[in-house]
Parts: sequence; C-alpha cells; structure tokens
Amino acid sequence: MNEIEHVSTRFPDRFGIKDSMRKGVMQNQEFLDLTLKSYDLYIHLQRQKLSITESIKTSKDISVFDHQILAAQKIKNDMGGSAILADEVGLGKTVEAGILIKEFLVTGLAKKILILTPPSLLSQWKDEMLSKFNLDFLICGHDLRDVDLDLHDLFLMSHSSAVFPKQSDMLNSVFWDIVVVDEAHSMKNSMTAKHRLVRHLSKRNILLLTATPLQNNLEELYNLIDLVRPGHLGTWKQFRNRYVTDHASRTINVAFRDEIQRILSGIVIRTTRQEVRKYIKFTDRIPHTRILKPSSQEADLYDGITKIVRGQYLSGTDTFVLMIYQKLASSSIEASKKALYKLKSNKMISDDKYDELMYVANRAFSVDSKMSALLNAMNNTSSKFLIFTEFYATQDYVAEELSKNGYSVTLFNGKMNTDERLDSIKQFKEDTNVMISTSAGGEGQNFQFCHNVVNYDLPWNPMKIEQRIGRVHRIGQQHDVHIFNFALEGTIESYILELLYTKINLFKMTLGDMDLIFEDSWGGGSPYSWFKQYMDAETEQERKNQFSALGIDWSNRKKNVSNTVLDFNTSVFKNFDLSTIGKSP
Amino acid sequence: MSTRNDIQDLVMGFFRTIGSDISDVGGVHAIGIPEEYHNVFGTDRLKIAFDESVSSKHDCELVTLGSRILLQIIEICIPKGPIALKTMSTDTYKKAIIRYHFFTHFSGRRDDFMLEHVDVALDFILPSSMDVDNTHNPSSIRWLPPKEITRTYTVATNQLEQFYNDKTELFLNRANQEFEKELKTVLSQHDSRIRELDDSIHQKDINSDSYEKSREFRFKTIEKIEEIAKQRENIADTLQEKHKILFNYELIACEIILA
Repeated sequence: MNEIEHVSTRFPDRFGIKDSMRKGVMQNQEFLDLTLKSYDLYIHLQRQKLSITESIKTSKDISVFDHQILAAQKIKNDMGGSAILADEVGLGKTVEAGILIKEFLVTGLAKKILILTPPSLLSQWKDEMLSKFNLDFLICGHDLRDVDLDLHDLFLMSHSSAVFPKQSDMLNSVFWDIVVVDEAHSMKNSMTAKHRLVRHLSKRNILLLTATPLQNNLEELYNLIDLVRPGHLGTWKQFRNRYVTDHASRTINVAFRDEIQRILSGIVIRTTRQEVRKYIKFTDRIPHTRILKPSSQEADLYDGITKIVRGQYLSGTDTFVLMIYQKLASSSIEASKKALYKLKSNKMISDDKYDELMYVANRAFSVDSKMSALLNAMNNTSSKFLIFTEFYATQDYVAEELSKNGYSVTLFNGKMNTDERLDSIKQFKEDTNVMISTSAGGEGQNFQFCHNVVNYDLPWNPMKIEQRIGRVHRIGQQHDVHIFNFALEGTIESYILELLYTKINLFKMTLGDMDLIFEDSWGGGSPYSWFKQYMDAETEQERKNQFSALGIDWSNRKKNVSNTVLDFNTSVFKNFDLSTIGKSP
Repeated sequence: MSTRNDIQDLVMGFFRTIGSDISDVGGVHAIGIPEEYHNVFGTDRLKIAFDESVSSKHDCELVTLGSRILLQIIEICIPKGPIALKTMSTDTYKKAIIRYHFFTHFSGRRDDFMLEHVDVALDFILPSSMDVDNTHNPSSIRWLPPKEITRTYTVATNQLEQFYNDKTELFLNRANQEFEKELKTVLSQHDSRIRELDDSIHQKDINSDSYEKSREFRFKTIEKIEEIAKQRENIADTLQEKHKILFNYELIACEIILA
C-alpha cells in the first residue's frame, strides 16, 4: 500500500509564552478572552463555506471547479476580501472573481462594485457576469458625465478610460466596496497613471487578476501587493533591503524565503494547471514550425530592407524604430511594402532604391511562401483557425488572400470598438472559418471553440506567444491545440523560431513554465539585444552562432533547477496550492 | 451563542479594550479609533452594524464573517500570546494550576482545527505571603520556578498528544486512503496513455507499408512514452509533497489559576 511519507508533529510556541512566563510578564484576563474568541472565530471562518456554494454548483448557467470556489472562499475567509488572483492562464480567474462578487453581494458585504479591464475585455466581462452570475454591470465609456454613479451599483470600465483626470476624479468620488482589476500586471509600475488611479480609489476590497504577477523583477510584485495591502511590506527600499539580494531585484534572499512565502500566502492565490489536472482535462499543444525557403524575390526584398536598416543602425538611428521596420519585413510582403513606405517617409531610403524594392515586392507576391504554407496547413482540415499577426497590413493582406481562396474571414483588432469586437467574436464562433487578430486579440478573449493557432508573424516577446495560445488552450478546450509557426529562412524570425523558441520547446510551455526561464532572461536575451546581434553579425554563420549560443543558454536555464527565479517560483509560488496556504492564523 | 453574537462580542470587546470611544444607536455602532490604530483601520472613525438590515438601512459597514474589520481584529488579537492570572478565591490560596491553551491544527489535503486546554497542577507549595493584590502585578508570578514551567508544559503536551491519539490515527488513515486513491487515479491515467502509445506502435508495425516510416514512428513514440513515464515519476513525488501531514499543537495562551 502507498502511504504518505511526510508526517510530522510540532509543538510551537511562536509567541514566546513560556519565556514570558519565566520573565513573569502577564496581561489581563480581557486580552486572553479576546485571543481565545479570535481563535474560535478563526476556526469558524475556516469551516465556513460560501453561502452561494450550493446554488452555484447546481446552476445550469455555469460550470465551476473546486479550485475556483476554494479560491473565492479563501479570499473571503482568510484574506478579508482583498487578494491577488494569480492563477495560470486559462484556469478561470474571471469566474473566481464573479463568485466572490456574487457572494459579497448576497451576504450584504458589498453593494458598489467597479471592474477595470483592458478595453478589449469589457464586453466579455459584461457577458460573463450576466450569463453566469445574473449580475448586470454597466459599461462606462470615455465620458462618465453621462453616467449616474448613484443610480447604479455595478460598473465596468477600461483601465485606459479610467485614467483620464475627469474620469478618475468621478471614480474617486464614490466609495467602492470591491474594485476588481483584470490584467493587473499593467499596474506593476508604481509611476504609471494606472497604478496611481487604483491606489487612490476609495475602496474597501480590491482584487487584482493577473497570471504574471512577477514578470521581470520583484519590485513589480511588491507594487501589486502594495495596492492590495498598502504599507504591509513597508517601503520598497525596506522590502528590497530585507528580501532581495541582487541589484536587478530578481533574487530572493534564501534566508527569508519562508517568511516571504508566509507573507505572500496571505495575499496571493495561485493555482497551477498541474494542481487541477486531476479533475480538469487539458489537451496537448502540438507545434508545427515551418522554416520556409524564400523565393528569390522574397529573399531580395528582405535582404534589401535589412541592408537599409543595418545602414541606419550603424549610423546611429533609433534602434527601436528600426526594429519595427525589421519586424514588418519579416511579417509579410504587404508589411514589407509598409516598411519601405515608412523608410521613404523618414528619408532613410533613396527614391531609386525605394522604387527598386517596391518593384521586387510587387513581383514577390507571385510566390508567397508563407501564404502557401498557410493555405497548405488549412487545406487539410475544415476546423477553425485563429491567425495572429502584429501588423494591420499583414492582417488585411492575409484576409484578402484567404477570402480569395474561399475561406470566410473575421477580423479582430485594436481599431474596433467594443460592439464591433463582440460582433467579430460572435461571427467567428458561429459562422466563419478564420479569425485574423492583431495583438489586441491576445489578451483575455476566450476562443475554446477553435483549436488551431497560427503565428503568421512572431512576437519577439515569448510571453506574448503564451497569451496567443492561451486564448484557445484553456478550460473547455476539447481538442489538442495545433500551433503553426511560419518564418522565412535567413530572417531574424527564423533564428528566433528555430534556435530559441524551438530549442526550449516554447510552444508547449504554459506560462507557469515560462516564468522559470524568462523572468530572468532579458539581460541576455531581450528583443533589443536579438536585434543588435542580428545587425552586428557580418555573416550568416556568425548570426547562427550567436543565436545558437543564446538558445543553449536558455536551454540550460530550463534545465537548471537552481536558477534563482525558478527557486522563487518553486519555493514560493509553487506551494501556493489551495491545500497548503493561509491555514495558520 | 450565535456566530453573530460571537462576532459582536469580539469586535466590541476589542474596541473597548483599546480604549475606543463607542456609541450605539439602534444597532449602529459609531467607533472612534485611537490614534495608534488609525493605520490599521485606515480611518479615525468607523460606523458599523452587525445586522444586515441595519447596515443596509443606515448605509454603514456590515461586520460579519468575511468582513475586513473582523479579520483585522482577529489578526491583531491572535499574536498576543497572552498570559493571565485567574483567582478563584479571595482568601488565601492553597493550590495553583497552569492552564495551557493550544490551537491544534491537523494539516494535510484536509484540515482540522481545534482549541484545547490542558490543566496541570503545580508541584510546589505556594508562598504564604501571596495576596490578591499582588497577583495583578506582573512581578507576582516571579514566584513560579522556571523548572515548573518546563515540567508543566511537558506534562501538558504529553497529555495533549495522548488525548489526540485516536484523532491523529483517524486523520492519518483517512489521509492515506485519499492519497492512495489519488495516486492510483493519476498514475492510471499515465499508464493507460502509455498502453495506448504501445498499441499504436504495434498497429503501425502491422499497417505501415514503409519500414522507414514505421521505424521513425516507433522512435518518436518511444520518446513520448519516456516523457510520460518521467512525468509519472514526478507526479508521484509531487503528490507525496502535497499530501504531507503536520500535527501542529501551538501554544497560544496560558492562565495561571489560583484557588
């Protein structure tokens, strides 16, 4: 028979009662009575289920999982209604927030609620709150003057609208029982208007929802915690001096690991896929990476643009602008034309060269390798495809080409207003084969009804890859998810794809896994440094060597379990299992 | 006593103890917070009610299970670790006992919490000079020899452990059953996946017309099987870690009772 191996018994005296007795120190009986009553109520709280548990479990409008109810219960009973909900992508943070909101409304603990989300998620939140919890939130647009904040109690607003001074003044005039902030990692910088807005709102409880509470350094996590429990960790300087050991604020002092875990466990809830795997079936991720041989026109076009960009790079032009041009050149032929146009507008290319490359570009359409590969991938199946690109030019071009080939296409992008986005999602769900989305579609939207993701061009930030895949690879996905990645041989994307992302099997990693590598990786591998390496290398071999070296470094990071960030995650976050946190008062 | 009364008792008791200025009008309690607690409650004045209808009618904060104020007060009171002297008679004292209060927490995939106290009689004769007034002076328990504290505490923890013997055994048995069941479920998922992959190799061997393709498939599938087998091992370790059990008997308060 298999038995539990770790069984221990302890008799702690963490308040030093025996020592106090030896010293003769005493309090009065009233203190003692209060302490015993507190423990009594604490035990009562621990045994207390949410009052809506049964109704929500039997509701036909919503399927809830144990971890979601437990998370809401823990926030209510252990955390006083305020917390950072940091579950990995796709585990249903919105539902957890909904359960908590409903519970607080039903028990009279809350009345006035404000949800702040990225603009693209407003409709989805409204829909989910209404359909799953029968809560009718009012979406506030850019102008709060039209909204009577006294007349309604439940409000939804985008982060970006809320930061306008007039809006924030109005929001500040109300006392909110609960403020929910979705995609709260955008509040991680304490100097930003978004962070200040949330900090200054008058509120009783706050819920921050983010899958990545720690992306680059511990100050980000500190800033989020400081929004939930202001002053709880002292100042950043005090926190850093005590808990952080390196200049980049990425390494936790091992001597205080247990202490910080105890502190965080009272503020952060983090459920991982691994923990819920026994009752939620997660399907597989199957990457299909194609490094394509470019046609001679495609190669000429890319090389031509790269040569101009390199010339500008060597003459000291702003690297970030040049990176955009290089990304455009990798994205599609249409986007390459856009790059040429921009280079011309900024007088970085001669008229003759512009005309010459435009001519090459127009001829390159005749053999579009990426488009052929895409059509080929789509040809073998009738299922839906969610195609991502970073650029509008590529979005329009791919849409046109697919339409020509008989596919029904829906677009989704940041230019659309809320209603248009909602329509788009509905169309994709009900009618069309394909959705082509820019990065705006990468956050928060749920597309479980589709199981093919295409990275037509490649985000240079690995976290964005996960955000894209996470749209379809989440609770409710019934099929294995196929991820198609295309790049032309010799392009910077081909190096990133082949020598970095594929090397570490990035497309099969969830955010939890990615945290292990990338939170600490930017020093040696930021998009900025990749671009520099690509530009500085004089030969193809040199480029290959540099990217290979970086790939090996990443691979080693993945293997190296003593990596400091991994250590932080495994010792601090990984133990944020609902069965182990927040149990000791 | 109902939970609501318990909550009201604790909250109002706490505010009285810290010297708050309190008024109660129709169930609405207006509380002036002493300056040293302004930071804790984020205000110098609270208007609270313990009844939902009162709270709703008078637009004041409801204090019930799950409310922030209640949790804040619990958080303040719990780490006090108080020691108090209790006198059962106004006359001279003939005997003394120490009452140790423990917070018992059995922790595993499930949790059990209990409050328990154990009384241990002192093993020495009380000084004849003791009187009631002195007992409220902190120095008054200097008469308690340190070795008596050590001895009584050991007796108390032994008694406690003995008292919980059956409960710990029951808790452990149940936890072992759950662990075994979960392990079996998780491992069987992996085993069946491995079997499926094994079968697929066999099927491929039978159906494939190309030796090369069949060979390639075999190698790829074996890689997958190895990966799953590795995951299987890791999961067993992870489950051991998650099912670990702690019987925690924490000393939380102490009363010295003179009778």
